[in-house]
Amino acid sequence: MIVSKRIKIPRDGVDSTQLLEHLQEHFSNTLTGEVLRFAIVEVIGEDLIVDASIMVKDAGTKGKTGGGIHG
Amino acid sequence: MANQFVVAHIIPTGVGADIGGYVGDATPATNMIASIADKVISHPNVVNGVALNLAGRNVLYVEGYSLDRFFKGEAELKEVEKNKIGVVLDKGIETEGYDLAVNTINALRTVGGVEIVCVLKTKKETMTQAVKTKSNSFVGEIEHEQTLIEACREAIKQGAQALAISLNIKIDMKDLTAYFNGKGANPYGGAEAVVSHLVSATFGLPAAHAPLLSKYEIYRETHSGTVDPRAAAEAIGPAYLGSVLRGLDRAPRLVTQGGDVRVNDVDAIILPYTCMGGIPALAAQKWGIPIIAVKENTTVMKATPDILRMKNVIVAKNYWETGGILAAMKEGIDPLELRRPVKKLTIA
Repeated sequence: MIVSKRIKIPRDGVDSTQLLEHLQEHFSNTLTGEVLRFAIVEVIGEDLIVDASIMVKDAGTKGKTGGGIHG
Repeated sequence: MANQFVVAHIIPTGVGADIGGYVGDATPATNMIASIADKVISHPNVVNGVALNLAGRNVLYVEGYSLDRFFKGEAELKEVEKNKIGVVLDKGIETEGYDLAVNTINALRTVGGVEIVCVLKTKKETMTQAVKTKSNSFVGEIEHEQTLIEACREAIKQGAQALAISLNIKIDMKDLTAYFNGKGANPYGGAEAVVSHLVSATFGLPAAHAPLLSKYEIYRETHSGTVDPRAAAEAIGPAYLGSVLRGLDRAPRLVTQGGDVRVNDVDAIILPYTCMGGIPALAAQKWGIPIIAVKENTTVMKATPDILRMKNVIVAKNYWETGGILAAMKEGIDPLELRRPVKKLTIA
């Protein structure tokens, strides 16, 4: 099943050149399933607000990180 | 790709972009860019105009997930003369929807010379639906994705080198009305992107999605009166597979080495000003690729370059300015030297 989710991720002062890795690391550490598609949709304070589409396979399986929001 | 001026033109799907948020309505902007650049890397949302795909021959049609892999430096683009295409249709709609799909496929074969290796139907309905976010953009959810994967696998067995997917996406008709009136994002867009991302991620082949409409939706789209001009291509006939087949016919394949275009060949990326939060823009920051952020192309997103504290971003008021900036870059002229006042240099 593929579900959509809104996620709040602290920026932690990360430079713009490292933001992609920062998001991917956050997904790897906190989400189960494969992130097929994501984008930062807004920023509130120091938090990055991200919309993600996630393929959920087996509960407990840590997934890879995937794509952005263009079709 | 030495001595070639390569530009990426990206407009995210389902975010209500003023230009490119409808059906193929960013094609004129893309072709303007393609008249300056040697190659333009773009994606289905930008140039799919229902039955029409009028993108220039130097526009490379790359699905979003593949585009992300390309920008992350995980894959290269290999241009091809032709792809053999497999078509996968969703189960569960009335005959009229399948008739429209098959007639569209046959029209592209007989008029466009597109090679189709098979037309398959999923074993069960995928149950794909559009989901509206708090930002008023659209994303998508799929309940039975495995039935789609199985059908795609069969198409590849039958020789498909690219996959055209057409699923019935459940939407709220109120969202379609708002969209036709120019007051909302395309409700199909986000789900379409999720479908094509899934297929590309699974098989690594060029893929794109076209909505498969129910009998009611076909009637509704063709009896909506005079719609927003940017949605007119839908109202004259919802033969969505037409643009997808045209695009996939020559879509570049993804390879891990030996490709014709690599991420370090990209000279600039053009995006709406509010859409800096996706992989292409974030990867551009990492690789030092200049971003041209187009202000006039408004969306419902709020990820601007200033709020994300981005570097190496040139803000263009509109596509007219974008054309001038690109022409300067191609000629090796710093675009800022075309403006006044000239910034004074000091000795540090």
